[in-house]
Amino acid sequence: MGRKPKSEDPVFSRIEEHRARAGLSRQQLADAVGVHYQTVGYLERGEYAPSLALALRIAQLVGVPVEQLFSLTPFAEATTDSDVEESV
Amino acid sequence: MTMKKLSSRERNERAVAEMADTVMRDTKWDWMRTRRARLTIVGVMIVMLIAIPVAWLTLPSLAALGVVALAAVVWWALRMSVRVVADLPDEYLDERQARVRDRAYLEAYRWFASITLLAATLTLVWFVATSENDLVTVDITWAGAMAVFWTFEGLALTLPSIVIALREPDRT
Repeated sequence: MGRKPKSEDPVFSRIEEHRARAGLSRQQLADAVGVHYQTVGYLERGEYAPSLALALRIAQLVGVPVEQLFSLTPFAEATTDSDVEESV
Repeated sequence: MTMKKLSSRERNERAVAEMADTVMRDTKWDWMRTRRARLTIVGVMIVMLIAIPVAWLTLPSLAALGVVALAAVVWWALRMSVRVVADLPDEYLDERQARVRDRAYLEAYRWFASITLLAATLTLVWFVATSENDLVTVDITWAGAMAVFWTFEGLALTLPSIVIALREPDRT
């Protein structure tokens, strides 16, 4: 049995939510972590899986643990801010 | 305070850095970066890649050079449509863009290798079919040499950007 292509493993992201909470535009986030603003779009749509270093830089910038930004399984819906804080 | 005089290498690096920064941030050419526009530019580029050797074989040299100049303009549009990702050095690309570029070169190499192998095979078949005593004498004109040169030069220069233009989704 062959190896499954890596591109089939989706990476789910909550970057957009945390970026908005931090009051950052895509361009500002992109400039802060050293990527093109288009790449931020790809990350937010789950169309690109970042390197560990990039994931950690984004997490550090928005002030959340990296596992709250990226997941191999869909994130549970958080209906209120308190729900999000409880899940920390 | 005296300004340090830049070496030609430093001036060149600064020029590339400014060009890279401009092309990555510009929105002026976003109309060329939709999927439809990219497909159109790729189509025109392929037409030009065919037109160049035909022009060298059928037109006066000056006219053929004009076709090459026109192809250079289309090549510029092709590169701008993909934000020059295929041609920028590593330090001007983020990790995703570098990955897109590397995959494009892999695919472009496969296409180029296939085309070269086909040309070499056809040449070998032609040699076997026409040779006498394992010898074929060929007269090549300047126009013929230019047609061959620009065919392979054109493919080598354009294929990576063509691959990116065809593969990238509709994002500007």
